[in-house]
Amino acid sequence: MQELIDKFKNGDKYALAKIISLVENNINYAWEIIEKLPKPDKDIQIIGITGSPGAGKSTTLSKMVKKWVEKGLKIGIIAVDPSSPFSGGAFLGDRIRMRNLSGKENVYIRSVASRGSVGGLCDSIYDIVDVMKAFGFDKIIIETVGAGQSEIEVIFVADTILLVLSPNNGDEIQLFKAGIMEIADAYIVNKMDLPESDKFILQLKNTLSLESDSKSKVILPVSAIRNEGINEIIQWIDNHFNDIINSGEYKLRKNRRMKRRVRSAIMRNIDDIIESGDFEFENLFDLKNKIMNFICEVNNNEEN
Amino acid sequence: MGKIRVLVGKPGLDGHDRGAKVVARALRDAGMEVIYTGIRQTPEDIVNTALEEDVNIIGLSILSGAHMKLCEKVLKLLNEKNAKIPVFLGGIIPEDDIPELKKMGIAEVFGPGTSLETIISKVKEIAGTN
Repeated sequence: MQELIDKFKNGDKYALAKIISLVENNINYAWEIIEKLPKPDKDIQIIGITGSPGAGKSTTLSKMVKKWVEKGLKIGIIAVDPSSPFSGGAFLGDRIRMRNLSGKENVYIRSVASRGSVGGLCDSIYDIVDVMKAFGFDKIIIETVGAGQSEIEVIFVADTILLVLSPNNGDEIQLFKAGIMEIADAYIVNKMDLPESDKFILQLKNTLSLESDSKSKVILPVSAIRNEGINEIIQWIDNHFNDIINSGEYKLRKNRRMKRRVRSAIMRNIDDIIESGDFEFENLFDLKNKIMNFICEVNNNEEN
Repeated sequence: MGKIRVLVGKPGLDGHDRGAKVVARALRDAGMEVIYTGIRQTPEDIVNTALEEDVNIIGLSILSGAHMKLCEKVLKLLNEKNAKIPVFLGGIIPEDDIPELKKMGIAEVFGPGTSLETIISKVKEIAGTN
Protein backbone atom coordinates (compact mmCIF):
# COMPACT_ATOMS: atom_id res chain seq x y z
CA MET A 1 0.00 0.00 0.00
CA GLN A 2 2.75 2.46 0.93
CA GLU A 3 4.54 1.77 -2.35
CA LEU A 4 1.32 2.54 -4.21
CA ILE A 5 0.84 5.81 -2.31
CA ASP A 6 4.43 6.85 -3.01
CA LYS A 7 3.87 6.28 -6.73
CA PHE A 8 0.61 8.22 -6.49
CA LYS A 9 2.44 11.14 -4.89
CA ASN A 10 4.94 11.05 -7.74
CA GLY A 11 2.12 11.59 -10.23
CA ASP A 12 1.89 8.02 -11.53
CA LYS A 13 -1.49 7.76 -13.33
CA TYR A 14 -1.53 4.01 -12.99
CA ALA A 15 -1.18 4.24 -9.22
CA LEU A 16 -4.12 6.65 -9.31
CA ALA A 17 -6.09 4.02 -11.27
CA LYS A 18 -5.34 1.35 -8.65
CA ILE A 19 -6.32 3.60 -5.75
CA ILE A 20 -9.62 4.49 -7.44
CA SER A 21 -10.38 0.77 -7.73
CA LEU A 22 -9.58 0.36 -4.04
CA VAL A 23 -12.03 3.03 -2.89
CA GLU A 24 -14.61 1.86 -5.40
CA ASN A 25 -14.49 -1.70 -4.11
CA ASN A 26 -13.92 -1.08 -0.40
CA ILE A 27 -16.60 1.39 0.52
CA ASN A 28 -15.99 0.92 4.24
CA TYR A 29 -12.26 1.54 4.05
CA ALA A 30 -12.42 4.26 1.43
CA TRP A 31 -12.08 7.09 3.93
CA GLU A 32 -9.10 5.42 5.60
CA ILE A 33 -7.39 5.17 2.21
CA ILE A 34 -8.20 8.79 1.34
CA GLU A 35 -6.83 9.90 4.70
CA LYS A 36 -3.39 8.65 3.63
CA LEU A 37 -3.33 10.72 0.42
CA PRO A 38 -1.96 14.27 0.12
CA LYS A 39 -4.39 17.13 0.76
CA PRO A 40 -4.97 19.46 -2.20
CA ASP A 41 -3.63 22.95 -1.54
CA LYS A 42 -6.32 24.79 -3.49
CA ASP A 43 -10.01 24.65 -4.34
CA ILE A 44 -10.50 22.47 -7.38
CA GLN A 45 -13.48 23.03 -9.62
CA ILE A 46 -15.70 19.98 -10.06
CA ILE A 47 -17.71 20.22 -13.26
CA GLY A 48 -20.75 18.00 -13.77
CA ILE A 49 -22.04 17.28 -17.26
CA THR A 50 -25.45 15.72 -17.55
CA GLY A 51 -28.17 15.25 -20.16
CA SER A 52 -30.02 12.57 -22.03
CA PRO A 53 -28.28 9.74 -23.90
CA GLY A 54 -27.03 10.93 -27.25
CA ALA A 55 -27.23 14.66 -26.49
CA GLY A 56 -23.49 14.89 -27.01
CA LYS A 57 -22.01 14.96 -23.51
CA SER A 58 -18.83 13.02 -24.27
CA THR A 59 -18.18 14.77 -27.57
CA THR A 60 -18.64 18.25 -26.10
CA LEU A 61 -16.53 17.33 -23.11
CA SER A 62 -13.67 16.01 -25.22
CA LYS A 63 -13.54 19.25 -27.21
CA MET A 64 -13.52 21.32 -24.00
CA VAL A 65 -10.80 19.26 -22.39
CA LYS A 66 -8.62 19.57 -25.48
CA LYS A 67 -8.67 23.37 -25.09
CA TRP A 68 -7.82 23.26 -21.40
CA VAL A 69 -4.97 20.84 -22.04
CA GLU A 70 -3.59 23.22 -24.68
CA LYS A 71 -3.49 25.85 -21.93
CA GLY A 72 -1.39 23.49 -19.83
CA LEU A 73 -4.08 22.39 -17.38
CA LYS A 74 -4.24 18.92 -15.89
CA ILE A 75 -7.72 17.42 -16.25
CA GLY A 76 -9.33 14.38 -14.63
CA ILE A 77 -12.47 12.86 -16.12
CA ILE A 78 -14.90 10.43 -14.51
CA ALA A 79 -17.33 8.98 -17.05
CA VAL A 80 -20.24 7.11 -15.51
CA ASP A 81 -22.35 4.61 -17.44
CA PRO A 82 -25.18 2.45 -16.11
CA SER A 83 -24.80 -1.03 -14.66
CA SER A 84 -27.33 -3.67 -15.61
CA PRO A 85 -29.97 -4.25 -12.92
CA PHE A 86 -30.04 -7.88 -14.03
CA SER A 87 -26.45 -9.00 -14.48
CA GLY A 88 -24.62 -6.19 -12.66
CA GLY A 89 -22.41 -5.84 -15.71
CA ALA A 90 -21.83 -2.63 -17.64
CA PHE A 91 -20.77 -1.48 -21.08
CA LEU A 92 -18.55 1.55 -20.67
CA GLY A 93 -18.22 3.21 -24.05
CA ASP A 94 -17.58 6.90 -23.45
CA ARG A 95 -13.88 6.68 -24.22
CA ILE A 96 -14.72 6.19 -27.88
CA ARG A 97 -15.84 9.83 -28.11
CA MET A 98 -12.80 10.98 -26.20
CA ARG A 99 -10.16 9.13 -28.18
CA ASN A 100 -8.35 12.35 -29.10
CA LEU A 101 -7.57 12.70 -25.38
CA SER A 102 -6.36 9.16 -24.82
CA GLY A 103 -2.68 8.95 -24.04
CA LYS A 104 -2.34 12.70 -23.45
CA GLU A 105 0.04 13.34 -20.58
CA ASN A 106 -2.22 15.79 -18.71
CA VAL A 107 -5.49 13.91 -19.06
CA TYR A 108 -6.79 10.99 -17.07
CA ILE A 109 -10.06 9.28 -18.02
CA ARG A 110 -11.76 6.76 -15.80
CA SER A 111 -14.88 4.87 -16.82
CA VAL A 112 -17.07 4.00 -13.86
CA ALA A 113 -20.18 1.83 -13.68
CA SER A 114 -23.14 3.10 -11.66
CA ARG A 115 -23.34 -0.20 -9.71
CA GLY A 116 -26.97 0.10 -8.67
CA SER A 117 -26.98 3.78 -7.79
CA VAL A 118 -29.98 5.57 -9.32
CA GLY A 119 -29.02 9.24 -9.16
CA GLY A 120 -27.06 9.19 -12.43
CA LEU A 121 -23.71 8.60 -10.71
CA CYS A 122 -22.29 5.80 -8.55
CA ASP A 123 -22.24 5.44 -4.76
CA SER A 124 -18.49 5.89 -4.50
CA ILE A 125 -18.41 9.10 -6.57
CA TYR A 126 -17.58 11.35 -3.58
CA ASP A 127 -14.65 9.13 -2.67
CA ILE A 128 -13.39 8.90 -6.26
CA VAL A 129 -13.53 12.71 -6.52
CA ASP A 130 -11.48 12.99 -3.32
CA VAL A 131 -8.82 10.66 -4.71
CA MET A 132 -8.71 12.67 -7.95
CA LYS A 133 -8.43 15.92 -5.96
CA ALA A 134 -5.49 14.51 -4.05
CA PHE A 135 -3.77 13.68 -7.34
CA GLY A 136 -3.54 17.36 -8.22
CA PHE A 137 -5.81 17.93 -11.20
CA ASP A 138 -6.70 21.54 -12.03
CA LYS A 139 -10.24 20.58 -12.93
CA ILE A 140 -12.27 17.42 -12.46
CA ILE A 141 -15.14 16.61 -14.80
CA ILE A 142 -17.90 14.16 -14.06
CA GLU A 143 -20.02 12.91 -16.90
CA THR A 144 -23.21 11.31 -15.59
CA VAL A 145 -25.01 8.34 -17.09
CA GLY A 146 -27.25 9.37 -19.96
CA ALA A 147 -29.70 10.94 -17.54
CA GLY A 148 -33.47 11.11 -17.77
CA GLN A 149 -35.62 13.50 -15.79
CA SER A 150 -34.74 12.74 -12.19
CA GLU A 151 -31.08 11.70 -12.13
CA ILE A 152 -29.89 14.78 -10.31
CA GLU A 153 -27.30 13.51 -7.80
CA VAL A 154 -24.68 15.49 -9.74
CA ILE A 155 -25.88 18.75 -8.14
CA PHE A 156 -24.52 17.49 -4.82
CA VAL A 157 -21.13 16.46 -6.20
CA ALA A 158 -20.25 19.25 -8.63
CA ASP A 159 -19.61 23.00 -8.28
CA THR A 160 -20.68 23.79 -11.82
CA ILE A 161 -23.48 21.91 -13.55
CA LEU A 162 -23.84 21.80 -17.32
CA LEU A 163 -26.94 20.32 -18.87
CA VAL A 164 -26.40 19.24 -22.46
CA LEU A 165 -29.56 19.45 -24.55
CA SER A 166 -30.11 18.85 -28.22
CA PRO A 167 -32.88 20.25 -30.42
CA ASN A 168 -34.17 16.85 -31.50
CA ASN A 169 -35.05 15.65 -28.01
CA GLY A 170 -38.77 16.14 -27.48
CA ASP A 171 -41.11 19.08 -27.52
CA GLU A 172 -41.42 22.22 -25.44
CA ILE A 173 -43.30 20.39 -22.68
CA GLN A 174 -40.08 18.58 -21.73
CA LEU A 175 -38.55 21.93 -20.85
CA PHE A 176 -41.26 22.66 -18.28
CA LYS A 177 -40.71 19.54 -16.23
CA ALA A 178 -39.12 19.59 -12.79
CA GLY A 179 -35.94 17.71 -12.03
CA ILE A 180 -33.06 17.75 -14.44
CA MET A 181 -34.17 20.95 -16.21
CA GLU A 182 -33.83 22.86 -12.94
CA ILE A 183 -30.36 21.86 -11.82
CA ALA A 184 -28.20 23.43 -14.52
CA ASP A 185 -25.98 26.47 -14.09
CA ALA A 186 -25.67 26.54 -17.87
CA TYR A 187 -27.61 24.92 -20.66
CA ILE A 188 -25.42 23.73 -23.49
CA VAL A 189 -27.52 23.39 -26.62
CA ASN A 190 -25.56 21.01 -28.79
CA LYS A 191 -26.14 20.11 -32.45
CA MET A 192 -26.71 23.72 -33.52
CA ASP A 193 -26.03 22.40 -37.01
CA LEU A 194 -29.54 20.85 -36.99
CA PRO A 195 -32.25 22.90 -38.76
CA GLU A 196 -34.64 23.06 -35.78
CA SER A 197 -32.01 24.46 -33.41
CA ASP A 198 -32.99 28.15 -33.52
CA LYS A 199 -36.59 27.36 -32.63
CA PHE A 200 -35.37 25.19 -29.75
CA ILE A 201 -33.19 27.99 -28.35
CA LEU A 202 -36.19 30.32 -28.46
CA GLN A 203 -38.36 27.83 -26.58
CA LEU A 204 -35.65 27.34 -24.00
CA LYS A 205 -35.26 31.09 -23.52
CA ASN A 206 -39.00 31.47 -23.06
CA THR A 207 -39.09 28.71 -20.48
CA LEU A 208 -36.15 30.07 -18.52
CA SER A 209 -37.51 33.61 -18.53
CA LEU A 210 -40.42 32.34 -16.41
CA GLU A 211 -38.01 31.55 -13.60
CA SER A 212 -37.29 34.30 -11.12
CA ASP A 213 -33.52 33.78 -10.94
CA SER A 214 -33.15 33.18 -14.66
CA LYS A 215 -30.57 35.92 -15.06
CA SER A 216 -28.00 33.64 -13.50
CA LYS A 217 -28.79 30.89 -16.01
CA VAL A 218 -26.96 30.82 -19.28
CA ILE A 219 -27.61 29.25 -22.66
CA LEU A 220 -24.53 28.22 -24.60
CA PRO A 221 -25.18 27.12 -28.20
CA VAL A 222 -22.56 24.77 -29.63
CA SER A 223 -21.93 22.32 -32.36
CA ALA A 224 -19.46 19.94 -30.79
CA ILE A 225 -18.74 17.96 -33.94
CA ARG A 226 -17.95 21.19 -35.78
CA ASN A 227 -15.97 22.47 -32.80
CA GLU A 228 -18.10 25.65 -32.65
CA GLY A 229 -18.92 27.44 -29.41
CA ILE A 230 -16.36 25.56 -27.33
CA ASN A 231 -14.24 28.58 -26.37
CA GLU A 232 -17.37 30.29 -25.05
CA ILE A 233 -18.22 27.31 -22.84
CA ILE A 234 -14.81 27.03 -21.26
CA GLN A 235 -14.60 30.75 -20.67
CA TRP A 236 -17.98 30.65 -18.98
CA ILE A 237 -16.95 27.66 -16.82
CA ASP A 238 -13.75 29.35 -15.66
CA ASN A 239 -15.70 32.51 -14.73
CA HIS A 240 -18.44 30.56 -12.98
CA PHE A 241 -16.04 29.08 -10.45
CA ASN A 242 -14.68 32.51 -9.52
CA ASP A 243 -18.21 33.89 -9.37
CA ILE A 244 -19.49 31.29 -6.94
CA ILE A 245 -16.41 31.60 -4.74
CA ASN A 246 -16.77 35.39 -4.57
CA SER A 247 -20.51 35.32 -3.98
CA GLY A 248 -20.32 32.78 -1.17
CA GLU A 249 -22.35 30.26 -3.18
CA TYR A 250 -19.37 27.90 -3.26
CA LYS A 251 -19.45 27.56 0.52
CA LEU A 252 -23.17 26.78 0.46
CA ARG A 253 -22.66 24.14 -2.22
CA LYS A 254 -19.77 22.60 -0.34
CA ASN A 255 -21.87 22.40 2.78
CA ARG A 256 -24.73 20.79 0.87
CA ARG A 257 -22.24 18.30 -0.57
CA MET A 258 -20.86 17.32 2.84
CA LYS A 259 -24.35 16.65 4.21
CA ARG A 260 -25.21 14.53 1.20
CA ARG A 261 -21.96 12.65 1.45
CA VAL A 262 -22.45 11.72 5.09
CA ARG A 263 -26.01 10.69 4.36
CA SER A 264 -24.91 8.56 1.41
CA ALA A 265 -22.22 6.87 3.53
CA ILE A 266 -24.79 6.03 6.21
CA MET A 267 -27.29 4.78 3.63
CA ARG A 268 -24.70 2.45 2.17
CA ASN A 269 -24.08 0.96 5.57
CA ILE A 270 -27.79 0.46 6.11
CA ASP A 271 -27.97 -1.20 2.71
CA ASP A 272 -25.19 -3.54 3.78
CA ILE A 273 -27.11 -4.47 6.93
CA ILE A 274 -30.28 -5.15 4.97
CA GLU A 275 -28.50 -7.14 2.28
CA SER A 276 -26.37 -9.23 4.60
CA GLY A 277 -28.80 -9.69 7.50
CA ASP A 278 -31.02 -12.70 7.84
CA PHE A 279 -34.26 -10.80 8.21
CA GLU A 280 -37.83 -11.94 8.20
CA PHE A 281 -39.20 -9.87 5.34
CA GLU A 282 -42.79 -10.94 6.06
CA ASN A 283 -42.94 -8.48 8.94
CA LEU A 284 -41.73 -5.16 7.61
CA PHE A 285 -42.65 -3.21 10.74
CA ASP A 286 -40.51 -5.49 12.86
CA LEU A 287 -37.67 -5.29 10.34
CA LYS A 288 -37.70 -1.49 10.40
CA ASN A 289 -37.55 -1.49 14.21
CA LYS A 290 -34.66 -3.94 14.24
CA ILE A 291 -32.66 -1.76 11.90
CA MET A 292 -33.46 1.42 13.82
CA ASN A 293 -32.47 -0.32 17.06
CA PHE A 294 -29.25 -1.47 15.50
CA ILE A 295 -28.35 2.04 14.43
CA CYS A 296 -29.28 3.52 17.81
CA GLU A 297 -27.23 0.88 19.60
CA VAL A 298 -24.18 1.80 17.55
CA ASN A 299 -24.81 5.44 18.44
CA ASN A 300 -25.17 4.73 22.16
CA ASN A 301 -22.05 2.61 22.27
CA GLU A 302 -20.05 5.35 20.69
CA GLU A 303 -21.39 7.94 23.11
CA ASN A 304 -20.51 5.87 26.18
CA MET B 1 -12.26 -8.39 -5.23
CA GLY B 2 -14.75 -6.15 -7.02
CA LYS B 3 -16.27 -6.61 -10.44
CA ILE B 4 -14.14 -8.03 -13.24
CA ARG B 5 -13.16 -5.11 -15.48
CA VAL B 6 -12.39 -6.11 -19.06
CA LEU B 7 -11.01 -4.00 -21.86
CA VAL B 8 -12.25 -5.03 -25.30
CA GLY B 9 -10.21 -3.37 -27.99
CA LYS B 10 -9.50 -3.57 -31.67
CA PRO B 11 -5.90 -2.82 -32.55
CA GLY B 12 -4.88 -2.30 -36.15
CA LEU B 13 -6.56 -0.98 -39.23
CA ASP B 14 -9.47 -3.31 -39.92
CA GLY B 15 -12.77 -1.60 -39.23
CA HIS B 16 -15.07 -4.55 -38.59
CA ASP B 17 -16.08 -4.73 -34.96
CA ARG B 18 -19.30 -6.75 -34.92
CA GLY B 19 -17.53 -9.69 -33.26
CA ALA B 20 -15.86 -7.50 -30.66
CA LYS B 21 -19.21 -5.89 -29.82
CA VAL B 22 -20.97 -9.24 -29.51
CA VAL B 23 -18.29 -10.47 -27.13
CA ALA B 24 -18.35 -7.19 -25.17
CA ARG B 25 -22.10 -7.45 -24.82
CA ALA B 26 -21.89 -11.08 -23.69
CA LEU B 27 -19.30 -10.24 -21.05
CA ARG B 28 -21.55 -7.39 -19.87
CA ASP B 29 -24.45 -9.82 -19.55
CA ALA B 30 -22.18 -12.12 -17.56
CA GLY B 31 -21.81 -9.35 -14.96
CA MET B 32 -18.51 -7.81 -16.02
CA GLU B 33 -17.69 -4.14 -16.50
CA VAL B 34 -16.56 -3.87 -20.09
CA ILE B 35 -14.58 -0.90 -21.36
CA TYR B 36 -14.99 -0.77 -25.11
CA THR B 37 -12.38 1.28 -26.93
CA GLY B 38 -13.72 1.11 -30.48
CA ILE B 39 -11.85 0.36 -33.69
CA ARG B 40 -8.42 1.34 -35.03
CA GLN B 41 -6.48 1.55 -31.79
CA THR B 42 -2.73 1.41 -31.60
CA PRO B 43 -1.10 -1.03 -29.17
CA GLU B 44 0.00 2.06 -27.20
CA ASP B 45 -3.63 3.26 -26.93
CA ILE B 46 -4.75 -0.12 -25.72
CA VAL B 47 -2.07 -0.57 -23.09
CA ASN B 48 -2.48 3.01 -21.87
CA THR B 49 -6.25 2.60 -21.58
CA ALA B 50 -5.94 -0.73 -19.80
CA LEU B 51 -3.68 0.83 -17.17
CA GLU B 52 -5.77 4.00 -16.77
CA GLU B 53 -8.90 1.93 -16.34
CA ASP B 54 -7.20 -0.61 -14.07
CA VAL B 55 -8.70 -3.57 -15.90
CA ASN B 56 -8.22 -7.20 -14.85
CA ILE B 57 -7.98 -8.56 -18.38
CA ILE B 58 -7.61 -7.37 -21.98
CA GLY B 59 -9.42 -8.84 -24.99
CA LEU B 60 -8.18 -8.07 -28.51
CA SER B 61 -10.08 -8.69 -31.70
CA ILE B 62 -8.09 -8.89 -34.94
CA LEU B 63 -9.19 -9.97 -38.40
CA SER B 64 -6.62 -8.30 -40.58
CA GLY B 65 -3.90 -10.89 -40.38
CA ALA B 66 -1.60 -8.59 -38.43
CA HIS B 67 -2.22 -10.49 -35.17
CA MET B 68 1.36 -11.66 -34.65
CA LYS B 69 2.88 -8.20 -34.82
CA LEU B 70 0.07 -6.48 -32.91
CA CYS B 71 -0.03 -9.04 -30.09
CA GLU B 72 3.73 -8.97 -29.76
CA LYS B 73 3.65 -5.19 -29.46
CA VAL B 74 0.84 -5.15 -26.87
CA LEU B 75 2.60 -7.78 -24.74
CA LYS B 76 5.92 -5.96 -25.03
CA LEU B 77 4.39 -2.67 -23.90
CA LEU B 78 2.62 -4.33 -20.97
CA ASN B 79 5.90 -5.91 -20.01
CA GLU B 80 7.72 -2.59 -20.20
CA LYS B 81 5.17 -1.02 -17.88
CA ASN B 82 5.49 -3.98 -15.56
CA ALA B 83 1.75 -4.66 -15.85
CA LYS B 84 0.62 -8.21 -15.25
CA ILE B 85 -2.65 -8.03 -17.16
CA PRO B 86 -3.57 -11.21 -19.08
CA VAL B 87 -4.50 -10.83 -22.76
CA PHE B 88 -6.91 -12.95 -24.78
CA LEU B 89 -7.45 -12.81 -28.51
CA GLY B 90 -10.35 -13.36 -30.87
CA GLY B 91 -10.96 -12.94 -34.59
CA ILE B 92 -9.70 -14.67 -37.68
CA ILE B 93 -6.58 -16.41 -36.42
CA PRO B 94 -5.08 -19.37 -38.37
CA GLU B 95 -4.80 -22.54 -36.28
CA ASP B 96 -1.10 -22.74 -37.05
CA ASP B 97 -0.38 -19.43 -35.35
CA ILE B 98 -2.04 -20.33 -32.07
CA PRO B 99 0.88 -22.21 -30.45
CA GLU B 100 3.23 -19.36 -31.19
CA LEU B 101 0.77 -16.77 -29.85
CA LYS B 102 0.48 -18.74 -26.64
CA LYS B 103 4.22 -19.06 -26.39
CA MET B 104 4.41 -15.31 -26.79
CA GLY B 105 2.15 -14.93 -23.73
CA ILE B 106 -1.39 -14.68 -25.09
CA ALA B 107 -3.59 -16.39 -22.49
CA GLU B 108 -6.24 -17.75 -24.86
CA VAL B 109 -7.27 -17.57 -28.53
CA PHE B 110 -10.94 -17.79 -29.53
CA GLY B 111 -11.50 -18.56 -33.19
CA PRO B 112 -14.74 -18.23 -35.19
CA GLY B 113 -17.48 -20.51 -33.90
CA THR B 114 -16.42 -20.38 -30.26
CA SER B 115 -19.53 -20.27 -28.10
CA LEU B 116 -20.10 -17.22 -25.93
CA GLU B 117 -20.39 -19.52 -22.89
CA THR B 118 -16.88 -20.80 -23.55
CA ILE B 119 -15.53 -17.27 -23.87
CA ILE B 120 -17.27 -16.09 -20.68
CA SER B 121 -16.12 -18.98 -18.52
CA LYS B 122 -12.57 -18.80 -19.84
CA VAL B 123 -12.38 -15.04 -19.30
CA LYS B 124 -13.60 -15.49 -15.73
CA GLU B 125 -11.04 -18.22 -15.19
CA ILE B 126 -8.18 -16.15 -16.59
CA ALA B 127 -9.24 -13.07 -14.64
CA GLY B 128 -8.93 -15.28 -11.59
CA THR B 129 -12.39 -15.48 -10.14
CA ASN B 130 -13.90 -18.62 -11.55
